[in-house]
Amino acid sequence: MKLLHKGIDFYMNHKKLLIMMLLVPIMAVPFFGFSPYMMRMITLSGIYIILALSLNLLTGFTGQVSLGHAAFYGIGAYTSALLAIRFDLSFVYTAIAGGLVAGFFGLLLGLPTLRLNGTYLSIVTLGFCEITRLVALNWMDLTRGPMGLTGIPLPKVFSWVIDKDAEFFYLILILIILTWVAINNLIKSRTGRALISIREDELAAEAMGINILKYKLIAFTTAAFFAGIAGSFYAHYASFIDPQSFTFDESIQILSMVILGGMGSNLGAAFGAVILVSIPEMLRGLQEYRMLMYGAVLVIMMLMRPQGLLGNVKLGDILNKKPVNEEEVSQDA
Amino acid sequence: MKKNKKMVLFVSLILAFALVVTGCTSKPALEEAAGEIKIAVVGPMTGDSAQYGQAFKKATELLAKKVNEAGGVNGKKIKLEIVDDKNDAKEATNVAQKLVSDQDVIGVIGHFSSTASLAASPIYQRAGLVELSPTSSHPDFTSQGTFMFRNVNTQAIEGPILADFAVKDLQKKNIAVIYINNDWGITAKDNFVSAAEALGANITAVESFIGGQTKDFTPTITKIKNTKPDLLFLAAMYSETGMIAQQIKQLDYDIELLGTSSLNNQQLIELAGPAVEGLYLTNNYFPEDPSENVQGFVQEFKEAYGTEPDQFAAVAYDSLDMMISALKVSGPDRAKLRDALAEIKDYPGVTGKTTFNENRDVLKDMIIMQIKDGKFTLFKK
Repeated sequence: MKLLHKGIDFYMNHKKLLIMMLLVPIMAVPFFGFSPYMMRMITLSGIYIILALSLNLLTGFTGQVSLGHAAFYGIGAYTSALLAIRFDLSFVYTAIAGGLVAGFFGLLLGLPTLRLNGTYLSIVTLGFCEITRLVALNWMDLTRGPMGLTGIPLPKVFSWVIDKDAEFFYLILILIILTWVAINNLIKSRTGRALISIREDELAAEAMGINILKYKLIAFTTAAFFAGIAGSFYAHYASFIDPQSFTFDESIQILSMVILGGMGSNLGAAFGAVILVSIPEMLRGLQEYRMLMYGAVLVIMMLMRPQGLLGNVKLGDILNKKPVNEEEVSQDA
Repeated sequence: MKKNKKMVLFVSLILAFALVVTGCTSKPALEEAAGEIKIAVVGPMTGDSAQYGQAFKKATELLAKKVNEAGGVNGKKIKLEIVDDKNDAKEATNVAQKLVSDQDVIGVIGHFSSTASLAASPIYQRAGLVELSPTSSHPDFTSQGTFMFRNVNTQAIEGPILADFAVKDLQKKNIAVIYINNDWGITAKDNFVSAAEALGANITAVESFIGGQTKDFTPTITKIKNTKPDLLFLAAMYSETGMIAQQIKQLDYDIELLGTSSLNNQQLIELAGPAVEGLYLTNNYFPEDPSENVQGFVQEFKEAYGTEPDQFAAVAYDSLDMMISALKVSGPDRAKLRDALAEIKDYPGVTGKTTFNENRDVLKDMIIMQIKDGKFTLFKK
């Protein structure tokens, strides 16, 4: 136990340094000589990390189980693809626009859901996801319907065109860090505590004077905003989108990442995203049995850790606690 | 404590397993590559559309075995790599990235759907690897780059043939259209309608439905009935065509039906029985075709798998055969294979005489068939 306390002390004293040290190998990923295929998997994981982080804010922290996250992802992708194709705008603008439009729809969806809870809310979000897909499928003039949008230009950050694997990697890394910092700060603020209290007990929260409508809307809008940004990146990265890429299955996939990683844990959501993106690729050698094994892995993981990989592991709490109350520390560990 | 340990053990097991799997797949390929030409066959081997991917797999494996037994291509054996893309755009791009990274892969047969083919095309184009899709009919597909080929007539070719048949041979002047709302359905409808109108036909109604979702077609049929057409053109897959035909029968409505080559599937007759009797359709593959190469292919396929090959198997078989004949000229070189493939003219495939035009779209002969006494029969060659 003493060693543990020493470790915690060391962490407390050198927190910034340690985080920087963790960031160094991540920053250096493009120099490890990974194949383009590996780099694609890493970048794809990055997109899903943003999606899982944003859904985690809504589902993990606020307790609103949404089955419509793919809709915001799709709205962001379509918005920024159309802006880039028709007006040749820089990625900075298309991503922000994608996020804002998705956020606006998040706000719209949030409004009627004030009166809904649990499964009822999930069904409404599911319906929203279907509506979005059908609009994208049938609004031929705008979205070209099932023909999809082809030839989406590469992302430009002002005059710098991003076309190398390493550049894509740094772009998604920057987006992940922005998302992480924003959501983390939100959670740690007064707003975050209000969101968590809504998850724990909505009635009690309201009785304590928390404006449920306002905070639910904040959660919906923020989650949708970041999902929209992820969509925007995906559109430029893949250069082709069609309504099939943003179906209900995609929502389930993102929700699985959050649940598997551990609801209410940002690190868990990120882990969940990386694992669920990489397992199907790692199992490629199994040919036809690949998806069967994938399902089996999910079942086994949920049976062994129903609370998710990092669920209930309050890593932040443990590390932030001053080593004064020793008993609690040893119990938690 | 105990639980945490378990979890750590479990996660490390998964990671170790993953390492083993990824390690296994990449190493031996490098060692064996010397006397082989590697061609990837990509399609939905699992999931909703697995039957099409399996047809690709069976047909190409059959051909590769035959070619290898006869000594291979210029002394080199053909090695197929069967890859699953689940018919999903994201998986297709992952697979494409994996294949272009493997320098031994000389050409790709795939993908199945236009969505997957389109999503993957920028990656193949950048790497300069041939993507020959046996089935993608999206009009934009081959214009994505110079390495995209297709071995299926686009609707720009099939539509006018159908319209010509409807207006000139069947003498129909008032035509209604039902189409499936996807990329294929829209182009099929557009090409048919514009060609038919140019020939002086009157399009009385154009109705759409959503594939896999719409089950009740009675409102559509009633609407069409009120416009009094004398022919109904269906740009749909066999499953919905079966439903539409049955519901037409139930409504006691008597109208002649015309469909595209996508209906060339025994399942249609099993599904709809007498309701599809008399339906006309275009086709370029016909298992009862007496010509030697078709009968040879059907025979081989039946011997190997016990079933008759469908059009997807046939078109995948032809695609690989065309690639192999191009390889004989070019040798195992990605860029040279592209040039050799683009040169192919009047190739005598089991799916008809085939030529690539300057856009690497295919021009194939088509025949007209009719369903008679519960069988596909030749109507006009």
